[in-house]
Amino acid sequence: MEPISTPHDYLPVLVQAAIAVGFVGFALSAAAFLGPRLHGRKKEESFECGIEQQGDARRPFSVKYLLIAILFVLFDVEVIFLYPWAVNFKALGAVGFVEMVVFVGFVLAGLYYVLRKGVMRIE
Amino acid sequence: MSALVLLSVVGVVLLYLGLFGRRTALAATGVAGLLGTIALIATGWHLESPLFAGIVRFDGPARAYTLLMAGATVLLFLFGVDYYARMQRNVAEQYALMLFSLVGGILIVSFSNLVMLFLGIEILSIPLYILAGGKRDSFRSGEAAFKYFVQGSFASGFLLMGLALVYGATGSFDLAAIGTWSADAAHGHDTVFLLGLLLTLAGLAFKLAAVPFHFWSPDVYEGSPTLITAFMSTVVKTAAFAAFHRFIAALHLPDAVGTMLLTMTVLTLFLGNVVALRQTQFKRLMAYSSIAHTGFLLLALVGGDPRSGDVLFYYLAAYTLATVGLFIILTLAKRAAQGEEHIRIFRGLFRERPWVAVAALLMLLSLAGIPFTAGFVAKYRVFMLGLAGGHVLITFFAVAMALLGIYYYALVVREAFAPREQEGGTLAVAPLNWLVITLCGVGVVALAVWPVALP
Repeated sequence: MEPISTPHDYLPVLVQAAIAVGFVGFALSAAAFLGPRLHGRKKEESFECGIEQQGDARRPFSVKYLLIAILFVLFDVEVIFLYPWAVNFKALGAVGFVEMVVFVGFVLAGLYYVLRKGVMRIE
Repeated sequence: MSALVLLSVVGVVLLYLGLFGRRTALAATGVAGLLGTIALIATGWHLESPLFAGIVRFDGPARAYTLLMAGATVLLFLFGVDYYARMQRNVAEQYALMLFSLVGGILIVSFSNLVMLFLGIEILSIPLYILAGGKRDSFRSGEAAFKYFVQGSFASGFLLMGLALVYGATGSFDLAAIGTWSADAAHGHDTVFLLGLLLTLAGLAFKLAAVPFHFWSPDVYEGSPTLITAFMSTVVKTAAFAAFHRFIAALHLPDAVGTMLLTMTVLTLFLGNVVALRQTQFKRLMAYSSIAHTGFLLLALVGGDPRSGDVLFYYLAAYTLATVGLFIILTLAKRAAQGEEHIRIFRGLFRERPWVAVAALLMLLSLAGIPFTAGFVAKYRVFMLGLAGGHVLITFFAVAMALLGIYYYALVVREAFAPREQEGGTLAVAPLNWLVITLCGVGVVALAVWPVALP
């Protein structure tokens, strides 16, 4: 097969990388040089508003939210597979239908597993 | 295809068995699934090849490696019956994750497209990150999982960048097409291709734990549950080496890459053997021994000899048998010694369990490469390959390192055959464990007289 690219074709990537690094370097150093330095108890808190913070970050906390968020992403991505299938439903025919049933079956099996493991049981 | 589907479905079935509390059926179901896979692969039933639009090719070596990995997993599952007997939670998940990881292993020993190589490595690795942290209350286990995950992701990054550059240079992900492209003399000095190859090989070398990409392995081996350590050093190592060989054997390697591989071989041989001399914790010793063996295995590959596939397979089979058996004996001794891992826990093993000690002796001799064991034949074949490839100096260096290696295995042997000073806990051996230890011990001797050649 003929080469479809040469090292020169990667030059834009290098330029892009240089710009990205340059901008970060510029922004950080500009902030460091130009910005005023004031310290205070209120100022060094993590969040300016919202719920009052308690203790520091080194304490165990429930990962329930994380689990639910990850599961959402998982099932969301799996649903995305349904769209191209739905568009090509007629072209894929019976074989495509069976394949999708198997796929959805696996997803449902996963959902049942997750429910049964008690991931959704808040409290 | 049928084998891959069977293994994945058995994995899901295991999860459900765990969900409904059928703990006793777990190992049996897993072993049944694995034996089914072995039968499917061995008889070639429904073994369409090429598969998935030509990105997977179940040729002879792929089938042989699949059998080896599935066989090793069977041994580990049999060991798991006793190992997981006291574990309360999430036992089914551990078995299932090992099966999913094995699926990844099968995919990378049979890949014929670089996309499949990457996907396979991820399918292999992601369950391992979880498995390394299998002991939930153990600090070391958590540390192992975290280190493995961070460094593994880093290696995946290298691999992906490398594959992208190889694609950029050659215009194809297909292994055969890249091989044809690289055989063209005009492409011998293509910078993009060279850079891509180096990054890809670096990413793969991480999985092999070849120096200088070995930093994760001692900590991860030590922190992971022993069964998982055994899984990593046998099944995962086999898969990674088979994939590595499949990749470099298909290509016409530029000279610079050959030099890099030779350098890596020498460094791995040196560091693995020399650092192992000072280890007193058995798992760390096995980790460095594993690095040392990576060096010997690399030596079998660098020559690019057509026979290197056979030698690689033979070496990996011998190494797998010895390693599985030794890790089981370690678990039993560790249990009797209340969780200690210093090699002195083997003291008095011969007095107490003569047969287990003799099996341990055979396996250690095989790892050290003493005559009349499979390890010796394997090392001998590697050295002959090295000489045939014209790497005389490096082969002599490897022989010297092999001799050095005898020392640290001998230390363990001495402990096992020394009388114990004070009475400790007794070493209980469950019948299944005894069976697996016997299989491994007899296996390393039997393999020595069975010259394996890949189909």
